[in-house]
Amino acid sequence: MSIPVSQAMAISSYIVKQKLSRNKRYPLVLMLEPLLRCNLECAGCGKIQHPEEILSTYLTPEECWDAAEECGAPMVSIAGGEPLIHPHIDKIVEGLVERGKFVTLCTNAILLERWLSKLQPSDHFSFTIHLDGMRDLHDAMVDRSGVFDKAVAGIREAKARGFRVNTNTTVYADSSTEEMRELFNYLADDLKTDGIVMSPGYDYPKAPNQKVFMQRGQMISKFEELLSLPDSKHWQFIDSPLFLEFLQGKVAMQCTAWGNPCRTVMGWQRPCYLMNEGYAPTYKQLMEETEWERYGYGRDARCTNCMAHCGYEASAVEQTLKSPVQSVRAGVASLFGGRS
Amino acid sequence: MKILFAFPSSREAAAVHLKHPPLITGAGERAGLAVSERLHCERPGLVLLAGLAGALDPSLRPGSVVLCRQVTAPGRDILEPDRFFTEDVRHGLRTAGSSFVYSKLLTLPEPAATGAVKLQLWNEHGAGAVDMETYQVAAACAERRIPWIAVRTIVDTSRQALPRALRRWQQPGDERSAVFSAMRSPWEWPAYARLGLQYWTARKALAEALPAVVRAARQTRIVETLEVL
Repeated sequence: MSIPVSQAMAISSYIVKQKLSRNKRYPLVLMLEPLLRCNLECAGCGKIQHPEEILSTYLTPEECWDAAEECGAPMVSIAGGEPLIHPHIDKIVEGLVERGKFVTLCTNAILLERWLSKLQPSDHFSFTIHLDGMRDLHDAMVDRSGVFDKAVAGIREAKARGFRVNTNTTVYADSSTEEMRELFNYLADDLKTDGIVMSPGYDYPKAPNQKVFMQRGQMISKFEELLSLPDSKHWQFIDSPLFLEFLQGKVAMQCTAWGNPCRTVMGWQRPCYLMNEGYAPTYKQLMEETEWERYGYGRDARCTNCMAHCGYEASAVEQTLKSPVQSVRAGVASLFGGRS
Repeated sequence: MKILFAFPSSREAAAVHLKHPPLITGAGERAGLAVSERLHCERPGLVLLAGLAGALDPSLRPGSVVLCRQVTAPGRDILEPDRFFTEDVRHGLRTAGSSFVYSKLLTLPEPAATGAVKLQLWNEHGAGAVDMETYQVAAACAERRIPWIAVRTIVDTSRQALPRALRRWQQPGDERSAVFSAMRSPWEWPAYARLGLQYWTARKALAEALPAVVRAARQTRIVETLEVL
């Protein structure tokens, strides 16, 4: 199964509750960044270019739990920076799981084996391990050799200990269809990971290598080619079927950045996980004071080449709920994996 | 400062009550010519183009208000409205609690007829809405260095196909042949009825939005000759 039944049921009931309370904007996934420091400097990353005093600031476990409660999203994605650098990451995860959140910890896996004995497998917890390609491509994208092997070893060990392990692949201009096919087959057939999250890279102005980013038209062509491969039918994507169609240019969607609010060490980042127009001190202020209609494809130049899942998965959920056929497809895909 | 109000058709102009007759531009290249001719005779401080449009942005519904951020046309450069005036209007509308989006417009020589065409245009141009006049009007204003802004309200949604007779629509005069064509295709009457209701919703939204746009401008700019309302 792509995601546990309990998670699918809990999220569905959460969304129904939001709809019944006529909440126009509600969070689905809290993007929690308890620190911005990282042990890598990836070619397409625009998260880590901060002064030393910010990189040295870590959210406390209490601040992380408060953020999760304040926001109310049923899922929490712990990102960063590299979350496994945080000295209390185990406590943060434990506290979020205790609060009934479905937590995924996004990591490059360099420090994973060090933490595995301190974390507990649970149907409320999974790892999402960053893999942008097979060995050569991945190590080139993260600008350090040996990281792919470390990540693969971490995945095997985590799976052996009973953890749910997903992977997160950012597709860049240099990611060829053949390389992606090889990677996803390896994940599905050899490593037997639980699910794949796939998203095109966002053209961060501060990223070290600007050549890795694609224009929107290139993204659509690339995903069309990749997802038309016969092999793609057995890749277990965590991404919703509608989001995958959006990536191929088959459905139109507008960004719903409010679906994935981002809490960083500096506050609630406005307006989304990728763009930075300052920080709101509270979640309430983020939701009420942000001019949401100003952002999105066609509305802001910075959104022109953004098809990232953190902006469009919530849109896919919204759109799925409006169509019974899409709802059934999404249900089947989330429970049985593969592409229906 | 004098504002020249321009509408593509008299039907759209009839949505608001103006003290002085506005400029009716017509569609396509004619719109640009009409504006050029008027600007040859007078030099307003601002040209305000208002009218209806079709949605490409899937989040827009009939009656949604689009304040133009940019306008493009196939194979043409992007044109931008007067930045300061647009910002003033945008802030004013937000302060007044008006609902609107600030997006790009696409001008085509014919209506965007089907959901598939609209999807392709959305992917290619990233425009929130499609019309048949804004680019030509903007180009005419740019040629004479007259600032312009544009406001559109949405009639048809991004997934909606237009009835066949309306797909060839070019000018207000084409309505007659469209009516005859519609009478010969009763299976399309539900689509016409739906579009008719959406048209009234959009027209009502335009009637509500336009005074709000002018009020917003009034709060931040000195408008000496206010022709609206």
